[in-house]
Amino acid sequence: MNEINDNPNELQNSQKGISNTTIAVLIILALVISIIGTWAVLNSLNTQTAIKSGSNGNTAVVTLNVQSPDVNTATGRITFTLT
Amino acid sequence: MEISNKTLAWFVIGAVVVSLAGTLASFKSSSNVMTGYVTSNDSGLAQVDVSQSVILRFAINTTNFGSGSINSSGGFTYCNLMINGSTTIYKYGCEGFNNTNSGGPDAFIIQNAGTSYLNVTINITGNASTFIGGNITVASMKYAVSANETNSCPGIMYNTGWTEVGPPNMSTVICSNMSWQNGRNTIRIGMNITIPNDAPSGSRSVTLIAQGTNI
Repeated sequence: MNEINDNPNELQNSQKGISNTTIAVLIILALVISIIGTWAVLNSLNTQTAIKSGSNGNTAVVTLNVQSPDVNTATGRITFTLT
Repeated sequence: MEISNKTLAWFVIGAVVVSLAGTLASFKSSSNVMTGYVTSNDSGLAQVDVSQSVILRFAINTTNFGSGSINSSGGFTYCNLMINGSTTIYKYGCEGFNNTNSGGPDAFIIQNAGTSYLNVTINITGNASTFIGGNITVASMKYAVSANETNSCPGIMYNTGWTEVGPPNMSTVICSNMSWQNGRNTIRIGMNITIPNDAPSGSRSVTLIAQGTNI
């Protein structure tokens, strides 16, 4: 013989399929992820600021050192015609 | 414990506020630190340093004796030809062999056109046997090294007297320390060949390769 559930809240939750507690946990989780993400982005930007501050003001210096080969050859010719 | 809908609504509002605050903070920070921004005060300096260059070249790259024969009617059994910096070809026992180069004949002139001192070697792809032929006891192919400009070889200069060309393609040092300074950076290589009367007729050509190595 089946029992009759006369509690309105439990009846409502069973119809939704997910409880308010579960939704609250998910929202808190999203909140935590949002905070961590924001902190990570700001921390990254701070790192870029440090890199920029460490450069030579607004002047970028690019030094290119070109080393030529150590060996070079040249070719000449010796000719004559015997008739 | 059951959470009411009102509590949930506060959670949602809190999440939205935090998200908006984070976004605004990111935009505000990025406007100051993005390195791609260009202002009127920015400048750039590109500096290129070429430490050394090794360039060895022939200022005169051909020794051409021209065309001729042994003066057999004059009783000669060989012909000797020499080019070593003169405007004329030295000839003995020969007919013809008039150089046709503009400006007259000259020996090879090697120039150090770079910016470093060089150890210079030469090798020739033929010798008396392969380049001239005939009686090998008479046939001869020699070269002599000298400074075309004074102090062009402040190191040791080798084979300054007439030196028989060795086996084909054998490298020989001619200057241990060739200067690159203007006015003293050229070396002359004169050529001296002897053609026996039994050498085969026809055109001859041989290659001289000079190599400079940075020291």
